[in-house]
Amino acid sequence: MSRLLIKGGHLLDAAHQVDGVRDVLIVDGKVQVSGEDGADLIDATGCWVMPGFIDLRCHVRGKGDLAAAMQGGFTTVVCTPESAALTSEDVRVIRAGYLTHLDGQELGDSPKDYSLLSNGFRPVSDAGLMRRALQFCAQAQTLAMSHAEEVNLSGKATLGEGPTADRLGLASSPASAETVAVARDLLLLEETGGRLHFAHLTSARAVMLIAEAKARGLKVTADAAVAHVAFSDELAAGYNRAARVKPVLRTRTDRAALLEGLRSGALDAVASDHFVRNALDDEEPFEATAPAHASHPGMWRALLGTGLSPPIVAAVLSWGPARVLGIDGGHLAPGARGDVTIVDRETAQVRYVISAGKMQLGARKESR
Amino acid sequence: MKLRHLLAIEGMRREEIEALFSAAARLRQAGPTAKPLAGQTVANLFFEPSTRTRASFELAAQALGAQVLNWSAQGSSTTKGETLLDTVRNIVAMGPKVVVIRHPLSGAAAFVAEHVQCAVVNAGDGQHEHPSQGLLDGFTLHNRLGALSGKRIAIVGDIRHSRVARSNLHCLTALGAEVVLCGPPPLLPAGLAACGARVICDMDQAIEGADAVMMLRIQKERQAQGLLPKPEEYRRRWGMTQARAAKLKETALVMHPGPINRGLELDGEVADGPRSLVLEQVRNGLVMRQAILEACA
Repeated sequence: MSRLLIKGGHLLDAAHQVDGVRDVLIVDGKVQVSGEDGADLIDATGCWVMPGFIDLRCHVRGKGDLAAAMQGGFTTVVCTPESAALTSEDVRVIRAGYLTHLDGQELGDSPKDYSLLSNGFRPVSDAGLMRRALQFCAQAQTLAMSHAEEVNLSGKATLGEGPTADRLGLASSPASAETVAVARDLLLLEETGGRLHFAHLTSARAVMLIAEAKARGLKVTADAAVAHVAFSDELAAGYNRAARVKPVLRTRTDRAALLEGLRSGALDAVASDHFVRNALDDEEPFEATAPAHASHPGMWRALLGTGLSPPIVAAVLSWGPARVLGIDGGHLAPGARGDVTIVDRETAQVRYVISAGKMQLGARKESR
Repeated sequence: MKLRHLLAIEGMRREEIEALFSAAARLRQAGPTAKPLAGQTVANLFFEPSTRTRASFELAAQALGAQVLNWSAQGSSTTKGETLLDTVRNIVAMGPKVVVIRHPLSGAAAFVAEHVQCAVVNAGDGQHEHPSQGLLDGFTLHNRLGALSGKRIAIVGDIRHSRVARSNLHCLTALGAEVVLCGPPPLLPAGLAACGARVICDMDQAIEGADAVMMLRIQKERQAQGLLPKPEEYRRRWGMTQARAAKLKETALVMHPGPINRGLELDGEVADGPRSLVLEQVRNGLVMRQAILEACA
């Protein structure tokens, strides 16, 4: 029997409104109330103890990406359908299937074979095809994930519309490139039924559309990616490559609305959109580089830096995404999966990651 | 006057711009008395077709005693399988004192400057800036109008895609002029108001009281993209027609960076008329580029 007692930490468990010092006991991979005799001890004094983080979207090319996820405190990741087919003993990997074929008019993978279907960072431009894909997902009770982008409005944009793009001479994309597509998919969902999740929303107006749809009772959820929560378009000044992300960064006002959406619950989660830059891209100017953001390792710190409170950040990284996916995890009540992320309150460093009761990060340090 | 690079006018101080104007005035008056680039190479690295800017830089470099290495890439470097930095490393290995670069992507010149030791002069990067053009236009206006403080200059045309417009905007506002940007709505980025411009769609309103009007070249392919109305309507609403020129202030000047679409953005009669500075811009381009290369030498 494996027993692990996490002692003295400050537990943040949004699902049960826990925000205080509590010990957590994990027996044989599950959270338990009793049986701490002979358990290995983790001293979590001065740390936040949270349900293992869950990432709604990342692009996995190799083992290094999963290691990065672990370093960032993630115990579950959903990878894009284009990701390498990797499994891991440390991190639970959920692979999204294709919602549609990336080119052409055909449906993608069978919704029966996947818990969610998505086209990753690409939109389904054909409304008729999207409607049919939603119908099949609804019937199979599979979650559909939408990258909302009207390509006739976004064009070759590398930044959101605004003074920064205008000054730098960068092709820019208006917020309507997102909102038109969000509105379209919401209207389709009204007809098809089923559950739809919007990936990496960037604009204030899109957050409003989601809030309205939720108020109407539509089964819709949405996330923002950490880049858009942490940065606005001004980051691109001087052609800073860190600003070359997809979807494009938008204005301060939009960013403020994303933060407010995370506080109010209009947005359910923050995803990493982790995508490591190709080394060749360092050889070309801003506009010729592919969008990327190696965001996994610094997620907690980046989100705290936005001014969101630790309980909110914990929630949008665990309970929020768990509910979107409808999976076990994301909370630490007795019986829950023993996925725990422990972060130093002072340094914001991820100190321990426990996946299904097994110490995956920080173990060596402790045994010394 | 010394320049490490010339990448953009945005961020340049008024004194730096005026020092380049003084140098250009001296060079126009007396010609290049010394040969500060004797025995040196200036590399013209053009990733986009160009005739006049390239010729102008070439003559300017020769006037200062430099030999010129002309390197043009058909299409982008990536279509040839070589990265931009690899191309630049190859050029730099030939030991130029200055690299003059034109590239279709915004930010390309600054990107190259981060990776080389020699001076880099931006001869146009995408839709960002064309600083030598901005400086020669400012110099031309300064010669005709005197101090530009309080003068009103309208720039009319495809502002969105124009690096000339951005460089002129930064140059003229640094010198205290009032800049009005004007063009069809899809080509008129409202965000440039944050750089100190007035942004006005209606041309008659935009050029009212102007001391000079700078017309920009219209690229006809924009019409196929639905960004422009038909040529006749464009001319009627945003062209410098003879009728419109007649309503300008008597002393008002008309400019164009070339090449001109006669009868579209600028009527031939105006381009050839007494208000026109078009050929003076070309002449001043030569001395301004000498001044720039001298400052980088």
